[in-house]
Amino acid sequence: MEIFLQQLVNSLSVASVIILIGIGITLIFGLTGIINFAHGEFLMIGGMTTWLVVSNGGGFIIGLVAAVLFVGLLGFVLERGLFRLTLDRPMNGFIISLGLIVVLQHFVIRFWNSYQKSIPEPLSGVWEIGGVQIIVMRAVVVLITAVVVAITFFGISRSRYGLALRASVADQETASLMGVPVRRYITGVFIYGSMLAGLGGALMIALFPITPFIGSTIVVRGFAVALIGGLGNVAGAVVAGLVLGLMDGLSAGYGLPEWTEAYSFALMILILLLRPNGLLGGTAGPRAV
Amino acid sequence: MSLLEVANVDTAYGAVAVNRDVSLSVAEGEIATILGPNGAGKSTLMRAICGLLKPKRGRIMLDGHDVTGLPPDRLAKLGVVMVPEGRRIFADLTVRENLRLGAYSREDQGEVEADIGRMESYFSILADKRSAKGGELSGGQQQMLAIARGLMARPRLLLLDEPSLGLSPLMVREVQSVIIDVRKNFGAAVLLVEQNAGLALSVAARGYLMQSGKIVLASAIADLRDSTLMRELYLGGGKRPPIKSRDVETL
Amino acid sequence: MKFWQFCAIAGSALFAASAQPAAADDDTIKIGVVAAQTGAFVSAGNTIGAGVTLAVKEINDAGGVKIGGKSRKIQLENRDDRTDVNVAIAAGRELVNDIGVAALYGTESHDFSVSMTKITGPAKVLQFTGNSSLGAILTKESVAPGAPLHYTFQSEPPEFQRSGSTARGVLKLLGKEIGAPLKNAVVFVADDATGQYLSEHYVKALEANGQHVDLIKYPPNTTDFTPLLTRAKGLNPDTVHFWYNGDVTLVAFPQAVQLKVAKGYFLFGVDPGVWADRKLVSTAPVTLSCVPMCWGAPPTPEAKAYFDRYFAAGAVKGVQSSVSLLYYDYMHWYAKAIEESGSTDPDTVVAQIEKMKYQGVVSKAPLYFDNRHRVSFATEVCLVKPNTSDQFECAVEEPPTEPPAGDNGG
Repeated sequence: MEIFLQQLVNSLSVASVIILIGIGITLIFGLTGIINFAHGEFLMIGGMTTWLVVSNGGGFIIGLVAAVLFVGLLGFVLERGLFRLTLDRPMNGFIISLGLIVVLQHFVIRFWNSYQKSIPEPLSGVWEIGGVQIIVMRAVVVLITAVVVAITFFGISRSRYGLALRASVADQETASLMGVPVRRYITGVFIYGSMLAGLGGALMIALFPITPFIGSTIVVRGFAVALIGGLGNVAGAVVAGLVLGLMDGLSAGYGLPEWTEAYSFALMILILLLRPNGLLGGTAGPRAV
Repeated sequence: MSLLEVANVDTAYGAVAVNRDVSLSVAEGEIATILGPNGAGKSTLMRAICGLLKPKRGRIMLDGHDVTGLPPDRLAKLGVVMVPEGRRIFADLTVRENLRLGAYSREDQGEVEADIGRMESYFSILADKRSAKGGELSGGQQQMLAIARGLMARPRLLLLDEPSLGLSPLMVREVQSVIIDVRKNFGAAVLLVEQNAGLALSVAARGYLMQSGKIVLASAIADLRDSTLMRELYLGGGKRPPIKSRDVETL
Repeated sequence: MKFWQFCAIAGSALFAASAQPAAADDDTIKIGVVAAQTGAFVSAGNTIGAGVTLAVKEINDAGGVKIGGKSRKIQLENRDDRTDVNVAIAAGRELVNDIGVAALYGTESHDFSVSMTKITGPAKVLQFTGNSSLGAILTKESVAPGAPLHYTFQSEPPEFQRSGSTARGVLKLLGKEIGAPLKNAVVFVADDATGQYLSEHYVKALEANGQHVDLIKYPPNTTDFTPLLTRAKGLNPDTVHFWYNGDVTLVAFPQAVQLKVAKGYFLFGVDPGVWADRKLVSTAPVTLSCVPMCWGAPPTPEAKAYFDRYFAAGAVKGVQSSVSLLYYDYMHWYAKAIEESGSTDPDTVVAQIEKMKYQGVVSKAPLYFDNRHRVSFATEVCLVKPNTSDQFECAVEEPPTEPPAGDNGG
């Protein structure tokens, strides 16, 4: 039993990173229809930024903040300079993002190298509760994610901006008639989603090493989470992220490890076949639930 | 000087021209109407006025300032608020949230709660259904909500695009009294686009008749009502299929 | 003649001239190295080149290889195979066919080496290469004069020997430190660059030492080992053995300790020198093995002196630096064989090597190749005292002479 609990606990931290990515994608995709497959590279760059700061003597927290800010800035520049031009033809944005993947990866490889990067554990220590080892750093990752999710959730459901965002996703034209500057919201959502990806990267490298190539598996998981949870649905992304994260951990722990990635995709295919609008439903609009 | 001045405006969707050389005006606090059959180009013109469509030619002035080509959110801030055709309620947001969103463009956000209260007392249905999702309301209730939402912005000019569409005669009567009150209680000017000539003629002070994208008649409401052209287009005052276009002049 | 005729003749002449074997250069002996200097197997790969480079420098500094009154310097050509078999083969072809090397060192990756023999054999280029896949193809018949593998030498002992001495040493040291009999073992293995999980001999060796063994395979590029480690924990192991690829092992190992998976651990492919250099610390007992002697805990003064020179020459402090020792010795051995036989002719040199017993740094006892062109030497195994970075207790384990039951002795 405690082995099973241990597996659950282990998977939570991985699920957290997936949730952060999934929320970003579901908001961006839900509002703008932009399919940015380079979103995983945003996470990778976030992690690399943290590594850069830490390996040059900075503390982890500085590295984390740097990652969030830098990737947010990157998102802003790309939205303004690139994706904004494709708003009328989202398919073009998608194709551009594929090229962006290669550009971002090779930027990192060119200036550093293609090897794994890691940082020393920012927080060491293990709590033991009832025979289950809870690695402190992992618990922190889960905690940070929970806080971010809560902030996002309440921001969208309670604040004036969240209201305007939800309206924009439902009906861009009418929202603008109310005075909502929809283009600015699109940029804002893109920046926010990017910042979440940067945060995810910083948290990930705090746990284990990353290479310039981790983006691809992450982003597919992120889209799976967004689709399974229902596009634009933050709560759905959280639930789907938990399910997928658990799936990953349990399949590695109990199934054939070589097939780990396949299980998550099989699950996604199954869910989308049965409920095409996602588990919690909704193609239109970021909603509270 | 008029509140709204539209001068020689042409509109088009891509290569397809819709409005040709349209000029009209709405004075401060006035109710004006644009009448015409289906496909006359009335809604297209409204979209140009509220900023959803950029005119190919001509100018739109607000208080003497050129606002041609400004986007809708800017115009909303300037006090030009559109209640769109088909109501376009946010179906997944609650009634309250719809109202609150209507006030998005306002500077005085602190007053919004009070105004919601005022709307709820004026439109009793909104108080009853305040937590219901917009999509749960009936057509007539949605129309009330849409108008209230528009009023939440404290507009100077309220654009109403076909508010009677799909409503029962009882609801149309309600809409009629609301429009009259808008001027009285809320102090806004109204530009009303309608196919329902009876409704339009009963609330407006001045009117324009549009056909095939052009203004064919412009006058005070009484003269409009009595004109031959009106009678030809609107036999009996109800909604009729469009008749062949003819060159006509002001009577 | 017409202009085009002139061009055709001139072109052919140039072509013929350039097609001369490059080894017509009488003054140097060309040697090639093919190893993974980038890619997943960089830890093993870097060391081959560095070891050979050091040996070549020493030989050249002493004047070169002396044959028939003349001294010939060695020219070293280093090639990176990027842990990709196609690149390795292309490099091999280039070295053998275009540059005309007399001997080739590398690779450490299994199938790469086997593929390489198909290039070196027909060209009569000596190849010194290490790993267990060769055991299947090196037979008495295949290394006989005139046979395809006559020029190929395996740099490491047959895998059952390496596994056998390692398993014995590990269990002895861990058993002593833990202070209780060891019964359950879990072996964690990743694939090598060509997709094979090469744990077979080690598992058999552990079983021959009385262990019940469970095997857990993990996919390449795994960085989060916690699910697999937790699964391992559910098997109640006394010891967990990480087999293969030192860099990945050092990612998985701390996670294992945090999860308290076992009482003791073995990390293959991590030298004590790396452990000390990176100031690693473990609360649980850890054993490390070296191929064949440990950097960081050298058992002989010659080995210590070697490692000092090796790093002083600028070698990278990679996890498997001890592998360099082998190639260092084989380079010197080859040079010595040329000098003793008085010729660079491949058949003569090979015959000489087959006769020689070479005393190098690798082993206390002189090395020799058996009738399957394989060597045999001891493996050093070290225990890291818990909570320390540089306290090692080491033992040199002699290899078993016979493979255990069920092991084909590859």
